[in-house]
Amino acid sequence: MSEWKRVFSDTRRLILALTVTALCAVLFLSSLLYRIEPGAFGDMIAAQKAARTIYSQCENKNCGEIIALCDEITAKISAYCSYINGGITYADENGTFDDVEAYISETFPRLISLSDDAYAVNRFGGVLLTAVNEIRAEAEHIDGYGDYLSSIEKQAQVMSGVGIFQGSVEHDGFTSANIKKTADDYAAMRDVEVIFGSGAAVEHWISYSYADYFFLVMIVLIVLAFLEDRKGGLWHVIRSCKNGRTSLGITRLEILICGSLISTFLIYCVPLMLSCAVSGGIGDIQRPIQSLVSFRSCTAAVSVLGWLLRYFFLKVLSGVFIGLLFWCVLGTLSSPQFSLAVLGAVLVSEYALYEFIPAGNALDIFKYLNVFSYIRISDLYTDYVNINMFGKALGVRGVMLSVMICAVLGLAVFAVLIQARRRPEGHRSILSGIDAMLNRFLDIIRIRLSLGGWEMYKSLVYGGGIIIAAAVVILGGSLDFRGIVPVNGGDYVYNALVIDREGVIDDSFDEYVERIRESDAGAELANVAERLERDADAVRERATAGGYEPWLVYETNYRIYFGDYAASVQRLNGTAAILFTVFLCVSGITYEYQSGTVYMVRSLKRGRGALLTRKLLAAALFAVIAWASVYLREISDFIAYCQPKTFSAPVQNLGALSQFPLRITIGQYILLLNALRLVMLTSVSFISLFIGSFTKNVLGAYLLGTAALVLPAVLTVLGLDVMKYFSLVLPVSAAELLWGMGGGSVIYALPWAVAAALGIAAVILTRKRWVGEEKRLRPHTTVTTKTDHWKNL
Amino acid sequence: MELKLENVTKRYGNTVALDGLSVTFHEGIYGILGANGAGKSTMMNLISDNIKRDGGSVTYNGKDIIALGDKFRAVLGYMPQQQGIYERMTAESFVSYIGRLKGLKGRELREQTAQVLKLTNLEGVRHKAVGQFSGGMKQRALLAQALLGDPKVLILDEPTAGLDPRERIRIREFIKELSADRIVLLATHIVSDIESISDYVLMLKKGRLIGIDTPSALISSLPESWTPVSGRPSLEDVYLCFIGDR
Repeated sequence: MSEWKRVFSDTRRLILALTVTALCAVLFLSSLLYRIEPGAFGDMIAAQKAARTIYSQCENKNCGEIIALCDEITAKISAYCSYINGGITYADENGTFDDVEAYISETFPRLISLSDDAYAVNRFGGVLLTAVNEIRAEAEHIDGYGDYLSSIEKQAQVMSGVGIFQGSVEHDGFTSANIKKTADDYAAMRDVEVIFGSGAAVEHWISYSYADYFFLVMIVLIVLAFLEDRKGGLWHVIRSCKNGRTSLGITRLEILICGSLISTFLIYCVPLMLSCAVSGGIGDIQRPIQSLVSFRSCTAAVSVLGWLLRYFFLKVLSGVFIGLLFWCVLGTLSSPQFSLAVLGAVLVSEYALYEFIPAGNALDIFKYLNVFSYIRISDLYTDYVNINMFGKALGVRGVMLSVMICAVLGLAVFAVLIQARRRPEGHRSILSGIDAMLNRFLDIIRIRLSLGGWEMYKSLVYGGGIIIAAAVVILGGSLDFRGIVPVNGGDYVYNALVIDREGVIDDSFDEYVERIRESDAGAELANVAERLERDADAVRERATAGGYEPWLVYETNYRIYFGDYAASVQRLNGTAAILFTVFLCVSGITYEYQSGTVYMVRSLKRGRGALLTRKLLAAALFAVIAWASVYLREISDFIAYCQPKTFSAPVQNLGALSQFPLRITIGQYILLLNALRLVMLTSVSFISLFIGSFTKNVLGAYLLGTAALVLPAVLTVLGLDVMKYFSLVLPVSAAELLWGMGGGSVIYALPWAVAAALGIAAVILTRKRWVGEEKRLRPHTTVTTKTDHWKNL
Repeated sequence: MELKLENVTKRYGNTVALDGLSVTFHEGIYGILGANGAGKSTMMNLISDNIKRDGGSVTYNGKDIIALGDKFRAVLGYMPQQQGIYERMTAESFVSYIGRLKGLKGRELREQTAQVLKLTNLEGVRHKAVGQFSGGMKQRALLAQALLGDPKVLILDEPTAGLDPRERIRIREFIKELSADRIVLLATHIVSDIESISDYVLMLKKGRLIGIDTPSALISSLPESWTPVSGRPSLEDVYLCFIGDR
């Protein structure tokens, strides 16, 4: 029982497991609500609720009627959004705009209540349109399922008759076997009666692929718990105990099964419940699984409920399988470092095989009998694949499941044997030879590292920073940089002309407008030219009053990247930048505490001020990496998307920045923006370092840094607006504040001053903690010496 | 060369770890004897300025060590009692990293690294991660780093703990050789080590210095009624008689 208690009641493990679960649930909820935006949580939930009413409208209708109803709803929602965005009212075969408005106010009253905010209407309408599209796709799928089955059979017949298969050497080989098996498998589905129902909950849930990786993390956490005694040097003691071998191995096997069960519940059942709560349930659970669009290709005759039970069972089994695999690899190797390196190499190779071998290839077996295929087990039911096994076509699901069951049994025996027979000492290790060789080579470099180089090396290699940095660079690639632009139909031509004529407003501009007027493009274009001239005159007037050169600038581009349209994107990206910086920097000083080397290092000549300076420099460099991962990408995306020609224009030419207090160009504005971000991230890096110095272990530092710096930013992004005063997300993202200064108010600079002051204070306090000062010596106090005791002895 | 502690006091809450300690060190080996919690490590941490003193002064050649700062640490070699070590570094990396922190660089750093690894008998395992070392090997790695940079003040807290007898004698003799032109403070529970190499022995009890003298003088000061534990009087008897409450 003590082993159960040790594994499941360890505080650190529990915190990690709960963090992973919470992260999994939050990310799923975020994806379910199409990215949670500031203040929009309630709207998005309401939008999902409204989407459920569309399902109820589809009840008792045949597929054709559902499709027609979906088209009608789509047209009405689009018409209403167009009206809100551009004031366009139009009538079509669905009726007048009044009819549209009446329908919307009756069916989606929340949409009407948002009508003052075009952005909110677009967001709400977007969710509704997506839901309608999903319902339409489901109805089309139900309607066409019979045809789909017939088409496969027909295709198989045609292909069997084509000479290349019939008369070729491959006639009896994989290709023809595959054709035959496919036709037979789908023929067995003829009796399946697909039924329309609420499939969104399951569809959204199985498309959430991050859950598989969170599940993997949970399994790794459990397996690493089995190897803790090796790291702590307890291995010898445990092996010498009565129940320390086979009995312990069996207990650990039970723990792994139980852990896989709990992980399956936390990582898969919880999001499914969330999905059902948001999307309104699964519908009729007795209907065939093929009723869901994603399961169109599934050839297993099973109901939705049956499939869910089967899926959870297979998830638990795959968790046990993967856990056993890791346990066996890690348990066979004596050196913890090497075993982790080997595990890393195995995972990288497996992922490469999984990702790069195309389906239908002769090397299929490596793709499907692969850890990552077992992690993504839902694909076994959503994709129909036969693999080439010595010329025979075998269903991938059957092969994978058979192999998994055999492997679980084999690995379970092997794992228990390792626990029972593997001795802590006396193994001939080939790997230690490689280790020594690698270290011999690396020592040539390491012995030449400067102090700054050493700090970077320690953080990147020993502290695992290189993995975090790689993750930061990769995750940075999945960020969005553009806000959503309200579509205004009436602006298309005007916008096109502005983009075409961006530049200095001078005589050539007047000629340009004149040319448009004189062209025979019609009255509409002439009106647009007039609007263009009017706006240009306003800019001219402003520029003359302000004493700068007037430019015609297409402002929307700047608004969607740095302005009001980008507010939510900026906050989200700011949070990502803070997260990256915290994870890269927070363990900078903690590493010394964890190693227990603080006293030794502090007693060295350069172990205080000089070392701290290098640590601060390393933190600043990591801040640059975080900045580049997010904001260098933003600049690159901006240039690629907008191809701006107006970097030389005075920034006051942008309407929203007409009162901007500094006389700079737009290019300099963007430079200033990014310089501010870099300074703020550097400040965050110093604060992280300071926070980390309060903990004695690296994991604690990550948790503390996340709680102090990342969590307030996340809460701000999730819409808890008051948290922006307790978070550094606004000064870090900077765009919102700098854009706010466009009205001439310098009060927006206050958060930067506060953040910079916090950064400086963090440096001073960290220095005080690490270096110490003469002041800390208290005034000399006289204490009577007791050395004369000796004389009395 | 003079290292002087004057009326040094250190408290941890209500516990007095050092109570008005005054002692002056010159070149030579000073063995420090005391039971657990007597204040040996506290004294060493105060000299290495790793903990804040509550009163008194610690001076090196007449100047306070805190005012000297880096200048004092440049002549200091410190081997702490705890085996805190960068487990993922190899022995060579570890020693060279500490060398960097001592201000050594280039050829000098490489030569001294090789030299101390040889002295501590770690040359053959210098490319092995110190995390894989036995307790004794870690102890030697810690000693190696303390020896870097030719320190004039060497503080060794339990330097021979965990070493086999041969290694212990070797290290002991090596420390003896070092003591000619430097101050060596040696705290250990292995009384025979102190007896065989120390020029002077400090006896600490409950944070107070209860005596300081040569080992032979201490042994001869044993009361006549004392029965030696192993046939002839030794420093162990001194420990048991004056510190061990026997």
